[in-house]
Amino acid sequence: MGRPVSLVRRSLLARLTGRRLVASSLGAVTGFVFLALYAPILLVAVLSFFRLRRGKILWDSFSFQWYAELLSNRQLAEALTSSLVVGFFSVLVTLVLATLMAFYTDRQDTRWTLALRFVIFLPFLLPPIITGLSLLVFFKEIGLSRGLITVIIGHSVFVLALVYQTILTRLQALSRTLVEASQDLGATRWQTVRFVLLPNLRMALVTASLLAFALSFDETMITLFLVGDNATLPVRLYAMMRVGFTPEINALVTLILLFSTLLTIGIARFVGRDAGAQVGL
Amino acid sequence: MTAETKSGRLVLHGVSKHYGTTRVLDGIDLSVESGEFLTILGPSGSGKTTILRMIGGFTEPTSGSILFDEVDVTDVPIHRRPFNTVFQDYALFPHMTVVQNVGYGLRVRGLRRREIETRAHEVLALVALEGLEQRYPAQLSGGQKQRVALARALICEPRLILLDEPLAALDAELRRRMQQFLKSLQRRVDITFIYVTHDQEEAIGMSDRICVINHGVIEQVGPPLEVYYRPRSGFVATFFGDNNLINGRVVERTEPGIWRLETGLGPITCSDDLLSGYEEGAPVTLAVRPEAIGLRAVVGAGTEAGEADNALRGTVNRVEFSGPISEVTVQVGEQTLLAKMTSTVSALPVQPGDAVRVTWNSGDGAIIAGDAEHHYRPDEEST
Ligand SMILES: Nc1ncnc2c1ncn2[C@@H]1O[C@H](COP(=O)(O)OP(=O)(O)OP(=O)(O)O)[C@@H](O)[C@H]1O
Ligand SMILES: [Mg+2]
Repeated sequence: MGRPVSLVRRSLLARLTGRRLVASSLGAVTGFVFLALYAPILLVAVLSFFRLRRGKILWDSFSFQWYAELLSNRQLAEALTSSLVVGFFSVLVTLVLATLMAFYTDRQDTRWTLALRFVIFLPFLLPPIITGLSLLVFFKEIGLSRGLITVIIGHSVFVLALVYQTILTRLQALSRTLVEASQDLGATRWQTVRFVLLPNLRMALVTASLLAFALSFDETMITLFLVGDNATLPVRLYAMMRVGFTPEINALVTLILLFSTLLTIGIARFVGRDAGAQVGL
Repeated sequence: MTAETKSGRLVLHGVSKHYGTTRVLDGIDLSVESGEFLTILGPSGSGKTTILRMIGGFTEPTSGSILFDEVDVTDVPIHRRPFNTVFQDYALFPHMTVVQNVGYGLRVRGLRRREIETRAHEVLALVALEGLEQRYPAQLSGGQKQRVALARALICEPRLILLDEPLAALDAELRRRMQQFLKSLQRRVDITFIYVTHDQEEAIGMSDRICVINHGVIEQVGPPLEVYYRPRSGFVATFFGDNNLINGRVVERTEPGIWRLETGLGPITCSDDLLSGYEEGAPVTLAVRPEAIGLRAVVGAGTEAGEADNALRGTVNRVEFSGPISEVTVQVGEQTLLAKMTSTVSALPVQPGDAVRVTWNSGDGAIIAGDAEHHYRPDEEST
């Protein structure tokens, strides 16, 4: 008498295990992809705490030794500082320029603004080699010697398009009547920018800064042409490749990884909160 | 607002707006008295928003001038005009709370925070929004946003408030409530309201005067009753509810106070007060409201005595029952006339195919100069 029931059970079971099979194989594939993507990074992180001997990790050698050596590696420390300085100032310069240009070109399709837009985008689209070379020639002509300043200018030119577009997109998404309402209520142009536009652009400004900083941080090609004695991090690493890396590189990579992860989490939270406050805009 | 500044009259003088070769507005002459509730009414694309934007300073007229208090304000920048606008999409600042939105006009004038908040609370009380001060616009309903937008304009103590279809986004019930609210608010604050809508009922219910525009020209300006009962063009006659337009010619005065018109439907009588100022032979159009028309079933062939002044023979085409009112179209000669009848309790007043007598009194309707046409049919409206 119990047969039909058990039959039903079994087919159910079969279906379930079938499904489970699909699910688990999908899981395996996903896991593999993740592993392939992140294993090198993980490996670097692990290596920053341990020593190697003949290609094997000595698990009992856990220490912060490489971090200590990183700190005392003046070349790397200086390169990191250069990169941070360059990143900071290029972001600053591009934020100001891009915001002004975005305000200026918003909803204006005159020939002049189209030309301006073209000029903004050109260095971003050109091969970096061309941009770098042209800038190098230009700086030679005007007698500006190579150094961090030239790198900052080069990076600014390069990332301007991205920052500009991010800000412009947000600006265009803002209802035109917000500006009109502000003026209507008695605000001057400047007050409108300060009280209405900038607060609404906050997110775009933050996003654009981060992107610009990231771009600047690993820009190598243009930098190679423009850099003087103070190499930036990518340039320094590039140079180090010829003599071989020392293990404190692992420490450096791990630190950068940690820093970017924390930053990403922070931004994600910030974005979430900001978006929450403005639903139904 | 102090008493001596109260002579604020707005005058538009030959205002036109052209975009390239399209004439959006053409020679608008309009004057709005202080404290008046004036509605600009017209179908979609007629230029209502453009007029409002020119008064507010958002759009420059191609020609003509705008005067306020006898002063030319045509070139005064937006933020210096003593007018405020309630935008159709409200345009509330999404990053500011209600109280910050409302206080904005005072903030940019450099008032102290304390004072701004006190005033903001007063104005919020005026529009019945107490308790919502700390909300963000995204957390408000449509009607609430609407009132925040109003409060934000009111706090600046403008001489004039411009409203562009402020109720268009609200549902019917809320719309009615807001209409009453707006009207009573306007009386209380005694500020001139210029109100744009394409809703005839709204215009009739709220306005002191209505300015009807079509294709960028003013068709008629006047109090609601006048615009409704004494339309001066075929457009106005048919834009406000249904109307029957009968083209004809003035023939002669048959008896004191009564004129005879020759029309496509035959001779029609028309009383003096409709026809004052017209000469014999002048082409005119009689506009008769469907509710002024009566229908009688024809029994036998003879005319009955004691009928209305005008009685035409016709055949019922169609009867549309819609609750208390039935709409009946009757074929009279070449023309179809529309009549609105009260449905009786037991049955429809007439049936399709019935031979009927179409009647109305010679004092009903309005006379429009020339051969007016149906310029407007509600079903053509693209809203
Ligand atoms: N910037 C512009 N360029 C060209 N034409 C325009 C411009 N702005 C408005 N128009 C035209 O002017 C006419 C009147 O526009 P307007 O916005 O004043 O109409 P409206 O009466 O407010 O209509 P609605 O009821 O649909 O809001 C329209 O035909 C529109 O296409
Ligand atoms: Mg409009």
